[in-house]
Amino acid sequence: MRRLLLALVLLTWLAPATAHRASDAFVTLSRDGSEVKGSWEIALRDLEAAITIDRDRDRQITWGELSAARSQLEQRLPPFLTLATDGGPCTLRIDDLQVSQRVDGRYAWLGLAGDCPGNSGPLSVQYRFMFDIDPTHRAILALSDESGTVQTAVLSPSADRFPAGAGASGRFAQFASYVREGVLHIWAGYDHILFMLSLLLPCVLVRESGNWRAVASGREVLREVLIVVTAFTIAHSVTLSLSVLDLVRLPSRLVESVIALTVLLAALNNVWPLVTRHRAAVALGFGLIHGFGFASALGEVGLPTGARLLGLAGFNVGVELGQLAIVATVMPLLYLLRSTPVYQRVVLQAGSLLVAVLASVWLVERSLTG
Amino acid sequence: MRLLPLLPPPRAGALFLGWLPMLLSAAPYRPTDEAMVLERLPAGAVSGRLNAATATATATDAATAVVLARAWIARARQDADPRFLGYAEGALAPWWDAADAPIEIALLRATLLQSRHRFDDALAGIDELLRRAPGNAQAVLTQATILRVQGRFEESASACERLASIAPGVPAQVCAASVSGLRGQLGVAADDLARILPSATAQPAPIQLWYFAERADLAVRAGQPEQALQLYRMALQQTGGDAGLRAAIADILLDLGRPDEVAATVGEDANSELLLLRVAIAARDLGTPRPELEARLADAYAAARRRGDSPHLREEARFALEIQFDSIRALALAQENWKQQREPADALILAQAAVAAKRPAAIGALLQWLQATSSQDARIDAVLAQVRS
Repeated sequence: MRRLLLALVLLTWLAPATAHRASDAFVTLSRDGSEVKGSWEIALRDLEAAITIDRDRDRQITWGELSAARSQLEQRLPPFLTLATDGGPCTLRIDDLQVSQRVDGRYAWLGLAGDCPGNSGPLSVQYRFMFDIDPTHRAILALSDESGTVQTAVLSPSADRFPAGAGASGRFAQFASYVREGVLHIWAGYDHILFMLSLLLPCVLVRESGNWRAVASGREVLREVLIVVTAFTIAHSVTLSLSVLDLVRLPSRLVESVIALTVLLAALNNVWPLVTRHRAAVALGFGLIHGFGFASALGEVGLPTGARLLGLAGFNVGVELGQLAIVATVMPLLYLLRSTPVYQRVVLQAGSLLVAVLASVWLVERSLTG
Repeated sequence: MRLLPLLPPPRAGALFLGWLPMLLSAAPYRPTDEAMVLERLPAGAVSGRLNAATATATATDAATAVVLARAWIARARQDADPRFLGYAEGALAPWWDAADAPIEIALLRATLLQSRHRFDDALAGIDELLRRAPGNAQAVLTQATILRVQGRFEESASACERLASIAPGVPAQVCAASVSGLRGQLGVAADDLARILPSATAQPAPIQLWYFAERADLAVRAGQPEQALQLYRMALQQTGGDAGLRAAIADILLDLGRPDEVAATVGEDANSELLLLRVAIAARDLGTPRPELEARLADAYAAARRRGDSPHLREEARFALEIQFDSIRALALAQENWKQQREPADALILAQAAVAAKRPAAIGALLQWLQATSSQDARIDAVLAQVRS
């Protein structure tokens, strides 16, 4: 019991007493052409953890001891901070040793000087100091270029490079890159576009006793389009999330084949109408399967560890934006053409037939070779 | 009861110019004296892990890793120093992401997540752990603690009950009393704890520390700061105390208008933000502000924010209110903090900031919560009385 109780106490008093400083190092770099200058501030306590400075073991680090360790620092620290440009790795050496004071104690202030090959491309930084000893250690990086623009990032064991999605600006950039992937995916994936089109083509028409008639008001068209698009969005967002978060897994061959099938059915429905009223339900039901398709596309891109939700959200936003752009371009056109015979015969009927043929080819291809 | 200044003294803002650049690079200097002591290392600090000769490689067996991590956590508590928590995490690194980590490691992992205020992650880990080991008393106590900190008092109380059924004794009693004290049973909780004094003082030092700290906290909220001081000092005497305890004593001294005693309580070599903030506030109260110390604190909070750490929010809110006299910012920080944790001190800073910022809506929302939980706190009553008068 006594052992149990001793252990218990670890857990109780931590909550109120946590406000303190974790281990940070500060890396400041500025670039001028091929030259890099800067500083690297390491808390003396962290430095001691890595490299023994306190030679006489009196638990005091003196300026004399720190100065004596200078050549050791010059040799052993640079491998943990590596810089590169598109032209290749830069050299980096410690050319100064001073001391700075911060709230949690004194820091070794190391002057940095380096050379980068050529003038090309942005500077990239990789930092790995202390991470094996203290995974909560962080490097706070400030990088300024010739124009004086300062980029900052927090480097950690799971995000030890810059630029590559660390820190606030990194996160935003990461999010933006997934938005772009999402847009590209919907634009490049004809099956999603054709499915959307197949559903949208008849939105400007109503079916009455076996014949198509143009919808009179634009408002009604808008309403119908909104409902269809929203239903499709909700459905594929749900299955995209389920799949990416590994809650549901479907074989991609099955998914791709069924997507082709949904396109085929939606197109055929325009030629020989079966479902003319509840298009939203169709969009919802079939949208579920398209979500799984988006997920496998996202799987190819890969999600950043530690920012899966961010990547997922970005990709989904991208898909919606790409989809909206298509709807916004196509719908006004369809609306204007809706009462012409050309629209009802050629665009709707022949166009849908063409889509159906294409979808059949996909269906065969995917189910046989997938 | 010390009332907070509602208006900044003239020229207060001038002191804070030049904070921003400090974040990125503190001005370096080259000492002239070889013998100048730059840093005092705490006992047992890690040294020379990169030196091949002395490399204490990461433990590869779980039992050693548990011993190491425990020792680091104990050190972290002693000094309120999160570096040691980082070392603890480092010791557990091989198992950190493993779903099937040994129970002991899963427990330490939850503790470390808790200490970084990742409460939901910590609770999820504990749920998982309790599925595997339903009778793990430590896990249940950690669960009760986190739920209490989150303001989920009912769930916390049932966790304490569960603890009592698994491992009856002083920890279970303190657990239960600390929650009931937050649910409108202040007096009863205090009496319950007072009654078990003899068995509590027979406990190992850290449990005594917890026991006295809870009693003192109840006394503070009951409006008996002198009694609380007595209890804290007893704890200090019995156990040597830790940074959290000394900070709590400093808070009472500040409240009682005795800032001159703060420095002695905190100790001169304090390197903890927790303690240094109290020193800075005391210096202001004494009319001798320490701009250099204040700037260092601002620097530290900014760095923590940059890292994305949240444990500093309550402290930073207090800094914004009592050092920067920026009640709007203090309120924003206190509200952000309130989303994560709802201990009495979190409610207090929220009340102080809301009153100082003259935001009736924020005050109303807090009042509603205080009433819904039947919370009692003399300090908050005093703050809100400022509004009513």
